[in-house]
Amino acid sequence: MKKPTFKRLFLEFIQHFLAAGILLAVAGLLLNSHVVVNSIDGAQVYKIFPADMGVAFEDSEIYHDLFRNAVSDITRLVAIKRQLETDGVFDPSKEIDITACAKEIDVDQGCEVTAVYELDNLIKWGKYGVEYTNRFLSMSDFVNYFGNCIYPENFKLDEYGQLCFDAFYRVVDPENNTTVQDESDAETESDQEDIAVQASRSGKTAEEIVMLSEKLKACTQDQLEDLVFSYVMARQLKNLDVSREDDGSLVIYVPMLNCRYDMVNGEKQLTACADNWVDYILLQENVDAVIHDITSNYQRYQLCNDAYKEENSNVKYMVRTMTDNGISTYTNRKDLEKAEDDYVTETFNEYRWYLIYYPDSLVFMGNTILSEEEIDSYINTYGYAYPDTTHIWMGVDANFPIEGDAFQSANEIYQKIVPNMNRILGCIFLLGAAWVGIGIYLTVTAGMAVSEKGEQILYLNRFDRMWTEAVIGITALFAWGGVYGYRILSEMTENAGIASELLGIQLTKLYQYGLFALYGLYVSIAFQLVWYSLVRRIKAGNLWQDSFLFHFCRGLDNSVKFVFRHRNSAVSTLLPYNAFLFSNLTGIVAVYAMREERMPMLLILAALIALDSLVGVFLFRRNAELIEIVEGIRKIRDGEVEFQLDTEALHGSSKELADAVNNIGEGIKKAVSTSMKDEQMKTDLITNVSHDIKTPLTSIINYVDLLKRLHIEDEPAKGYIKILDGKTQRLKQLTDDLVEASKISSGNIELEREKLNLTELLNQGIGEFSERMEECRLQVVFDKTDTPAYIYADSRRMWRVVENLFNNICKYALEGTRIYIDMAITEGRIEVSVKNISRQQMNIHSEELTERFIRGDSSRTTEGSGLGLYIAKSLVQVQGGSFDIFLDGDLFKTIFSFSEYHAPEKDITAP
Amino acid sequence: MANILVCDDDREIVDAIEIYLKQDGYRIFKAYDGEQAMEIMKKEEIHLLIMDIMMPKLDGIRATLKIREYSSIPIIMLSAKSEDTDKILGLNIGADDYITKPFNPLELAARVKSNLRRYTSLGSLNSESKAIYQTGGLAINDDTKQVTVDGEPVKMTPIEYNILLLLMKNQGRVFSIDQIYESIWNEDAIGADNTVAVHIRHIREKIEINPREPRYLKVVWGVGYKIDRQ
Repeated sequence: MKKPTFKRLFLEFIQHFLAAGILLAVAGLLLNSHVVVNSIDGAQVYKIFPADMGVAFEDSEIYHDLFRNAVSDITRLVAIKRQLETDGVFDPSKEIDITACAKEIDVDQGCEVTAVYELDNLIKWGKYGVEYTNRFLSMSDFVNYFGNCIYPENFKLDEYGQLCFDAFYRVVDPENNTTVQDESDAETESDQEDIAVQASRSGKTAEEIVMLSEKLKACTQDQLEDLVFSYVMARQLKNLDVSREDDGSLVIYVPMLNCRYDMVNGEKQLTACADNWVDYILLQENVDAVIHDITSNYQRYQLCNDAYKEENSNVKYMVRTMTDNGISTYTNRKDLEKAEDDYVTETFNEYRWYLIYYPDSLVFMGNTILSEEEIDSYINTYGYAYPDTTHIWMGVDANFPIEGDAFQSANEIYQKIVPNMNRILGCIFLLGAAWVGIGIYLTVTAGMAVSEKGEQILYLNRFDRMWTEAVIGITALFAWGGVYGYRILSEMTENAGIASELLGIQLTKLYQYGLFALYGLYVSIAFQLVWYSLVRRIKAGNLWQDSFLFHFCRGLDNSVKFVFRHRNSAVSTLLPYNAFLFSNLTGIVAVYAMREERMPMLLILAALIALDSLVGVFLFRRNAELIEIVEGIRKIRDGEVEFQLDTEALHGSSKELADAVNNIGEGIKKAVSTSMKDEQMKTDLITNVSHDIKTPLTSIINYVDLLKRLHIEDEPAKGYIKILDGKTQRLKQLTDDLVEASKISSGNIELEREKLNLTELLNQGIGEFSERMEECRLQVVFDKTDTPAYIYADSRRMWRVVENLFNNICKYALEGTRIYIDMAITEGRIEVSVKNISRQQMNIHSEELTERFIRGDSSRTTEGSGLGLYIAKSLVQVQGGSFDIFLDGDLFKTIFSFSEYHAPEKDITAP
Repeated sequence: MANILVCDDDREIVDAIEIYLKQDGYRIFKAYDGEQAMEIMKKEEIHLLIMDIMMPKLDGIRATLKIREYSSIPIIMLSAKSEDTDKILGLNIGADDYITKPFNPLELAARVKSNLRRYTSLGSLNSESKAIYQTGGLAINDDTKQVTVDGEPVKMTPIEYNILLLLMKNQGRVFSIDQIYESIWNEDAIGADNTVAVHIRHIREKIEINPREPRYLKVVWGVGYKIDRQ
């Protein structure tokens, strides 16, 4: 198969390269087309929109954005200036009326008192942070915290005629009270007067007050305090909390502001400003809100004030407000500060872009995209700073004479980027087209290869053989990586120009370009991996076959079929099992439900335990019986055919099984004994026949021998006698071998195994055969091991093996060749290989050589019974060795091996 | 001249044996079953009995048992039964030798001769000399450096003689090839190979009637060689 691997790799590489190029171009476009502006809410990035191509800077989106930003900033800046400045400069000692200020920023909830702080104190306070101290007061302490308020003026009757608290019209500080009592009666008069004033404040007539004091007297102090408390709580003040102690008394929890700085009037605590809880807590909230507002305004002021100074900005503005307190003007054109409105309007009209707005006379002039509604929305946020009499002028100097401001730098970049945008976009498009083109080509040719026959074939690589779900998982991973990368890149683009960092590395422009290119590579490689694999899968049609779901479905299908096939087992096993589970669950639920009633619960529990142990015993018995049966089968397998399982002790299906096993065992026993009897009969038959042959054979041999001794001179007769002699000898050998072979094959031999040295045996054998070998001019080359090669075998049988082998060699080896006997001990096995060159061509298979009555030549004319190798092999195998014959052309190789014998050392040759 | 009774139900075999043994000068009596053999034994003075096992009327085993009740003449069993168990049985009930059919007539003649010699000259070979080692019919005299089998001298090469002497001196002990080599050649056994084995075979051919079934110099396959005390 010829895969176009290099071609594909090359194309894929080009594709990745293109992707990196595309992303680099995109990076060039995105990373350079922005301008950073310090607006009132911090640095902001404005981008050049590709849609602005061919439009002048003043008509572009970025310009409008910048102008909108400037308007928004300036309207806010003016509001802040009004708050923080006196006569156009920041005034730290400006006095701030808390409640008035809170009303301006719309947080006040009807506080009736106020406190006045110096501006810088509030800013410092805000920077330091606002803290509270928690106070826990009993109800009596709470009600009387600001002084006694149980006066008839403060109470009223509700519509049902019930006494209830009206308002804190008269609150007398207990200390003042005592001083009043200590001093002379002269004071009492003014006191009386004071009471009268307060009574009139409550708007109650003297009769009413008399009636109320009657009522008050009828009530206990506790009841009255309770009424006061109800009144305070009814206002639903923030942060006020009530809890009831163990003894039934109420504890009120109040967070009280830690007053850091003195007020303008020298007081420090806010409690001095209020005479009841309602006012105090509202004031406290106002202070908190104002501090936050002023602090944040101060920060914005610092940030923005400089940026819109006359010498720093190409944006010019002027805001003039006419109030009862006179005219106040905020501008960055000092020359126009005192000018008349009309002159100002004229001046601003000269700007290339301008906006003039008189809300009171509904004048809205301008040539920007900003609408009246938009500027209204900016102004309304700071409604307190922009009364209807406000006049607003704004304009941008189109020549951008001031270097470094937002408009000027944006213009510079715009002039640089926009004319080149077409080229960059074209380049991106071209690269993209090339990428897609290569992608299509690779998609079409994916998985195609040319086979040796020149046919088109499909191939799959290892990745394609993974489970489809795994690939989907990988795809999802890739996609996640892609999205994550996209997020990083877009965030980087968003913040282009602002120093950003990734993983602690300061991202310079080079890094940013690198990241873009890397992202391109990533997307391209991920796409290549997943998409082409998908294409190959679809082409090969293994999208479904290779999926986990497919395997799962098939497994499920198989198991369902399996269960169906074993319906009976399912009924006899699964049903009881489920019943068991169900009864257990029911039992558990029942026990839980009856946990209150001791007796039934215990009964159910006992029944459950009894049932479970019954099932346990049953399962155990079944398993144990099964193991017993398996044990029996193993015994039968290992030849103990007499073994019988005791079926009396078994139950149910185990009993059936055991009976079957017993029957099989009996069957095997019968078969074995029959076969053994047969084999024995065969051996006996052969032995007897061979006896019967031997007797006449003896006569033949003897008389042939006698004939030989007659010194017959007749040549043909001499020849005949020689043939007779040879054939009788062969017949004799044949009968011996026949008996031997039949005995081995029927397993009718007894082995007398002992430790013997195979090297010695072979040496002895070579010695025994030396003469015959020399006759055939055969040379034995014996490569023996240095260490004695001990095996555990029957020495006479082993001699028979060696004898047969050597006999074979003498009969069949080519004269004048060498016989190689190699011996090796590897991993506890002794291997002997005997090699010789055959005299005749072997037209026979090596396996057949060790079968009965097979000889190297199929014509059966030469001497020998044909049982030699069969006997040798059988003897080796019977003694636990292996015996193999290999034929390679005329090379005849016999290999037999035994495991090395390591026994308690008992050297019989030692003296 | 010795009288030999040959007893076999196969007349041809009896006749063939007669031919061979007559050539050696023995007087042959023939019987074709156990009872006949018993009768001849009673009438004639028999020196050696050759008897088949499987015979009609009275088989060889029972006949031997009966004969052994009154006679100690050498009995050679001649049988087609070649199993070890048959041989052991025959030798245990009183036979002196056991030859399996089909047999080599020359071997039979040699065994007859050997058995007769031992029977007739039993005990006469006893010698006080320490230099004489003997087992069965095999004797070696280290003074005269002479080896005799059943009284007949055998010619040996010096190495063969030394090997035989070593084995005779240590009857019953098994010597491995290396041990024999080291004690005869006085050299390290490395490279001894099958020299010893070849010499042993030569010795066997000289002292044994049937070298394949040696009576004296026995091969313990895979271990070594030995001569048993008899």
